[in-house]
Amino acid sequence: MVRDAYVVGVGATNYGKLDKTLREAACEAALGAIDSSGIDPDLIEGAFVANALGMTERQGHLGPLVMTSLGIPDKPASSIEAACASGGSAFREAYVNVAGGFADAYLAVGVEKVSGIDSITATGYFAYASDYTYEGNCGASFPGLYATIARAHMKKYGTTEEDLARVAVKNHDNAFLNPKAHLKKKITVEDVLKSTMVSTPLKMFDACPFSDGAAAAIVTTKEIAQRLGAPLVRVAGIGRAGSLAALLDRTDLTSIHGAKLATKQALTQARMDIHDVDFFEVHDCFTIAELVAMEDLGIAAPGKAAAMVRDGQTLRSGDVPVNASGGLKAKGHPVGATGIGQVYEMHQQITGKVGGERQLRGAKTGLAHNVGSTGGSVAITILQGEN
Amino acid sequence: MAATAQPFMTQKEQKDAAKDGKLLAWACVKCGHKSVTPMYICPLDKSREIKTVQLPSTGHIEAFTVQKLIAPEEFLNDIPFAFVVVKLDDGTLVAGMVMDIASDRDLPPGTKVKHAPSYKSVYLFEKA
Repeated sequence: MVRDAYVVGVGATNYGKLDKTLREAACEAALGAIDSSGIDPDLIEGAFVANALGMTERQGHLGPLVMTSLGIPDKPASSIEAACASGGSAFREAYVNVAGGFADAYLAVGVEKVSGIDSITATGYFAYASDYTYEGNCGASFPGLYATIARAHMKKYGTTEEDLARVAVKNHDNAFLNPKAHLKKKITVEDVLKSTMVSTPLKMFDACPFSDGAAAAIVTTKEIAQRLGAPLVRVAGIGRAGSLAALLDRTDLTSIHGAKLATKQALTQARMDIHDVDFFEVHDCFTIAELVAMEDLGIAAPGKAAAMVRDGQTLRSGDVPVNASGGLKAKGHPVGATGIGQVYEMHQQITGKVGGERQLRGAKTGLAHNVGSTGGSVAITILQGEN
Repeated sequence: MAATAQPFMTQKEQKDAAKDGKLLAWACVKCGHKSVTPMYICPLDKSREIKTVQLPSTGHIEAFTVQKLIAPEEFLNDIPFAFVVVKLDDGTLVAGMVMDIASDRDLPPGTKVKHAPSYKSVYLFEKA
């Protein structure tokens, strides 16, 4: 019933402050995916456009704009919104169309543009992805919610501010080598600890930046992938799940239940154990989120992720590289693009196109963990190279 | 599936009650699970028998953050303050805020609080 589906082409803009409209950025990424695959655009049967904050540009209904500019105006495109997991969710819907036999090729493109609005407005837009009546209306900003998670993690497991800082240092080191990254600056634990306090215990350098950017991926059948002569990168497993939307409804703030469920789905489909995965791109919107992600994925036992980071196991040279791209923390977080940007990074790693110091050795199987809000939406994607 | 015997509490009714100092929640008649966010089917036992219950107005802080730099626009002038998750005396969790908190030291572990709504926030708490 479900057939194999492959990622044949990927594209992405640089992340950061871009002098491009939503449409321009989305099309740059989509054209990158089309060109890198060599696919005839007319074979693309439709698209899902991941965009969470379209109102920043007073533009809804973005899909048809993108399809029109791509010269395929007769192909359908719908927007997918799952907060910061919009990208992973859109990718999943594109995959479902191909795997389910409804289409032979589908485009997933994610895009965000936030640099056109001031940071107070942007802070508000991010907070709207919480359960605003019960969280935002109690003064919670988005950093505030993750700070509350950090506090709970510290209380339960003894996690320290230095533990959080080490995640930021590692991800900045990786982003320094990533030409597409937003923050290309090496930092130290001391820099993080001395940075401006935002929401205790999270500081400026514990947080990802507001980024503009876009990323795209084309999912297709094995037959088309082979015909195009593309490296065979299979979507080995996909998981989508949710969690109780508001933090106050959860009995355990130190873990995101939906992430565990989605991971299990993806691993089951891929017939894999988490230890079969060679590298990870996880949703580190704040440093604490990377530790929680590692524990939810099962890379680390509950409360043990900080020790793995401390021991260097998540470095590019470690046993379980996490966020070799620089992650949301330093590569950047153009909300709607993020989940598809993770697919882009995995595809580049698996096909050996990263090159240089940042290329991971033996990167055959990658897993992306993409979270919306504080876990109300989760998308997990496993890609595996077959060549 | 049996229809519910009575209409659900509306969010407006919940908010109006909170302004008067009464914290109301949706509760599952069968398993007793309580939720401060709207619950029409119990997530634990999927029961459709939901009633309105009043929660205690005192509890202790389970987790919190001190908002030092940014907050939703309507609370920017209140910085610094604490966003708190309070465990009420019956175990129900509710989010809220405690004003005039500048440092983590102002809310030591286990700090007891009581609900004290104001025009600013219906989920305002103060140290008990």
